[in-house]
Amino acid sequence: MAARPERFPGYDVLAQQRNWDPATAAVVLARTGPPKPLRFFTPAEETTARALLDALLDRPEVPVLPMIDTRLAERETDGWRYADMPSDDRAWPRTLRALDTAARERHSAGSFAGLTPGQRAGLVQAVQDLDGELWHGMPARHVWSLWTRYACTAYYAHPTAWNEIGFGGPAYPRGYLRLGVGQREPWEVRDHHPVPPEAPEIHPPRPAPPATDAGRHSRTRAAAETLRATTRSEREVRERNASAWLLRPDGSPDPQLVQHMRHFADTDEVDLLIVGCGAGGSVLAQRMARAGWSVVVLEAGPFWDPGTDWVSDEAGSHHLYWTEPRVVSGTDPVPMGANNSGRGVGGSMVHFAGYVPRFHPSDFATRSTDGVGADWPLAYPDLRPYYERLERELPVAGQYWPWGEPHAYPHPPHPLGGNGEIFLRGAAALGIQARIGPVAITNGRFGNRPHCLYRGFCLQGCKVNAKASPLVTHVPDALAHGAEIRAGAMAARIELGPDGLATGVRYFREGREHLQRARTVAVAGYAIETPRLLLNSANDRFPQGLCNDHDLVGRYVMVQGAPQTSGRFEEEIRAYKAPPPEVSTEQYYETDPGKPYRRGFTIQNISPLPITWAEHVVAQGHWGADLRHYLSDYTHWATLGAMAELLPQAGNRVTLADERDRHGLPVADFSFSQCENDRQLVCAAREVMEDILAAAGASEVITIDRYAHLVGGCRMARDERHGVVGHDLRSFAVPNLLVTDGSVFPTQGSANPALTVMAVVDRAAGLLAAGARSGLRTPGGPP
Amino acid sequence: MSGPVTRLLDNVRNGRFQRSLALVTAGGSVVTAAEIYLEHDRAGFGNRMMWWPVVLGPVGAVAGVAGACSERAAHTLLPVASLQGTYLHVRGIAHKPGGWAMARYNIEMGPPLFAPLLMSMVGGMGLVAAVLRREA
Repeated sequence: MAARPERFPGYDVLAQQRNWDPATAAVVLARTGPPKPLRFFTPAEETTARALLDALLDRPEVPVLPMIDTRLAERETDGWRYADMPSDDRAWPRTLRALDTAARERHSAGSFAGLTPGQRAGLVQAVQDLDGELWHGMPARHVWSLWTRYACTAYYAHPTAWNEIGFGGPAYPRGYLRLGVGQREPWEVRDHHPVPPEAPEIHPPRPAPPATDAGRHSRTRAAAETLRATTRSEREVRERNASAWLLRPDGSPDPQLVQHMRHFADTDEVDLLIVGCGAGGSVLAQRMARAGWSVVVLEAGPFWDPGTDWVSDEAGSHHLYWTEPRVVSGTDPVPMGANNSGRGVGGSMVHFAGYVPRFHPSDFATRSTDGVGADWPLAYPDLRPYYERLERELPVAGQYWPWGEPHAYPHPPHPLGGNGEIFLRGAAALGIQARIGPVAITNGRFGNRPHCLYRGFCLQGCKVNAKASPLVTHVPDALAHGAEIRAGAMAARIELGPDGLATGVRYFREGREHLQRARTVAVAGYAIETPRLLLNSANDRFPQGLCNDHDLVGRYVMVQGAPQTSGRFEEEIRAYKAPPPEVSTEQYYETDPGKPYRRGFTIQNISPLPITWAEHVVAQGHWGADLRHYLSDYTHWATLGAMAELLPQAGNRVTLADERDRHGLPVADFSFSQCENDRQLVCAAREVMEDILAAAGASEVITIDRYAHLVGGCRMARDERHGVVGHDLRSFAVPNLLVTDGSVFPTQGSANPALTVMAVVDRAAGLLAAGARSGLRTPGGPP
Repeated sequence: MSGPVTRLLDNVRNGRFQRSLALVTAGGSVVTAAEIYLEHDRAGFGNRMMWWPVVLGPVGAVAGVAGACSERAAHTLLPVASLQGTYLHVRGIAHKPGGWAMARYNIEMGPPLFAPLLMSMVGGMGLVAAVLRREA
């Protein structure tokens, strides 16, 4: 191994462990102890796996195989698999055997481990070079993804690796003092050998394309509206939703509320049964409990305690994602995980970045104005009051927002870290308008929720409880008003009575099957689980799946094209400090008539932590010594992410796979392929991001393609021939069945969906509560 | 030219500058209130009491301009206000994750510990103005 200069001499992240919370310290320090004995790999596989990891990670100084072994033995996998690959625990042994076979075929050696390092490197490189083609019966690209995902997670989860790259490690309860380019904490060590990786020629930034939404911002109006928004009394919020005041004084959820939660029997016919306790389900539960309805929420995951269940660590946060089996297929399969799945009370908002922009008025009529996508059965003004009140309940911090419909936010913008400064610097150089926010992170005390600490672990669950998730913004108030949240309850099927109305939901809990009776059922399992539940609820009346008379359930599922561009700077950026969401621009949100593609994109800051960053670098084709070299340069990189509005297509859909999960329920197969418009849009977004970083002074930029968010699958429309539910989220086919989550979106805009999911559901909750006054089970219909 | 300056200095030396110090107090109150508003706005006005020093600023200004601040009220209210502010800031620091155990970090990142005492020095000027002699 070539001597690698020590970049951060004397830096020891473990010296900070007295400032870590016990849960995080336990997870991190377990990795530094003696390695666990292997349980999964056979001795032959072990030898090959070690040789493979030595090649991929250039002989790592710490054992990485035990961590991979433990994950596979305990099925701590990502859950999903590519349709053309076996599940991870079967794929690993198979690929290792294939390596040995390749060693025999190419070099007539006994095994892969028996080869010289050069020969091993040749074989590994051959897998990477095959890319989309088959390697021993498996797509080489997916084999490469399997190896590198596990290898990077195992190595860059280790404190030794953090010392090597200058990463600050866990950051709770201590956060960060010094944010910004070139700033260091008193205990951080400066990079002593800032050698840039060999830089390819970087082209000078092109002039920015013209803005498609220039933004309206009269300065006086902005100032007046901001003053009004920030000085409004919180009493009104508290009277509507007292969640923030029902937390303990340190801001954590009050266990008393859960202990004294009301419990319903399965035989009680509750007024409303909700499946899923994320952004949609929680808001509905809180609003309806306030309206006096008896509410039960079935949640497949656990009831989180942020203090003990969440850790300030990337690899230790796997349990926040939906890791039940799923299949992804299509020409552009979408990997699942941190970007698009959630689990437990709070849903994926537990680990979302925190960006909560509104949709633009144009989003609700893309078919009429741009000839693509679909029109919503409601318009922007229908959602405006709900946007406004939810922004105050979360609450949202940010600068006055000039795009879409201009508006102000209740909390002032947060200070910027290095990543945000770079974005503003580059945008200013190109004449692109950019703003700080909007993020659902408290800037100052809100009720009992404390001020943000700028610790950078938003995507691992906010232990501070400063970042909004339904766990702290809506669930406490729902519990205080008599709702029951039944955690660990996996819904299996919706039951229908002879009158064609839903009578309840069958679910699994602690190994037993139950049937909760209800007068109204709302499904809020998000874009994959909601269609899956409806399809799994097929019966005599609906042989193709509940509400699926017109073959619309599971169709038009959308993800946003989210290319991620990083730039290398001479100064230290240390992007892991400060929350990942900082600056964004929406000036390319709308359709540019001069371009061949329709709709637009937004650009935002993101700040990958070491494992995510390693996956980014690997996706660029770097591995071995090259990968380690790039990673040791971690503190010098700033990152932007775009979100491009990919269009809804009928063929992008959720169906049932042949495979079954541990409850015996068919799992979802999510097929996704891009259309030409999608590819052009992603490409345009990528160019602007690269130019922003180049204009900010980057010496090298790299971009990878990825996806973010997930909506659609049960779209809302004006009638049953075009959608599954109406504007009130009530299904056309079963009058007392609602779908209350992001799966109802007909189009997705290029804004992060969380706030709009909440707003759409908040509006539907109001209509549901108003209809109930008639005392009818189906408003307007027979009792 | 030297006339007004000499007279001013002479007045100050003899403790006769009640009117000017009252005006300085008035100006200082407005500046202080504005600064407190900005700082407390940055912290989201999470506690209703954070409005008090902002509201009291203009009161101080009015009192200063009138040059007739009530001596008795100022004697009692001012120390109470600054101590109350300090207490609230101390409590704010204690509420941060880690509390006083991580004082090095939390004092710097929490509510500014000494700001209430510092701000009350403007009020102190008002007190001094109350007992001064008027300009000749």
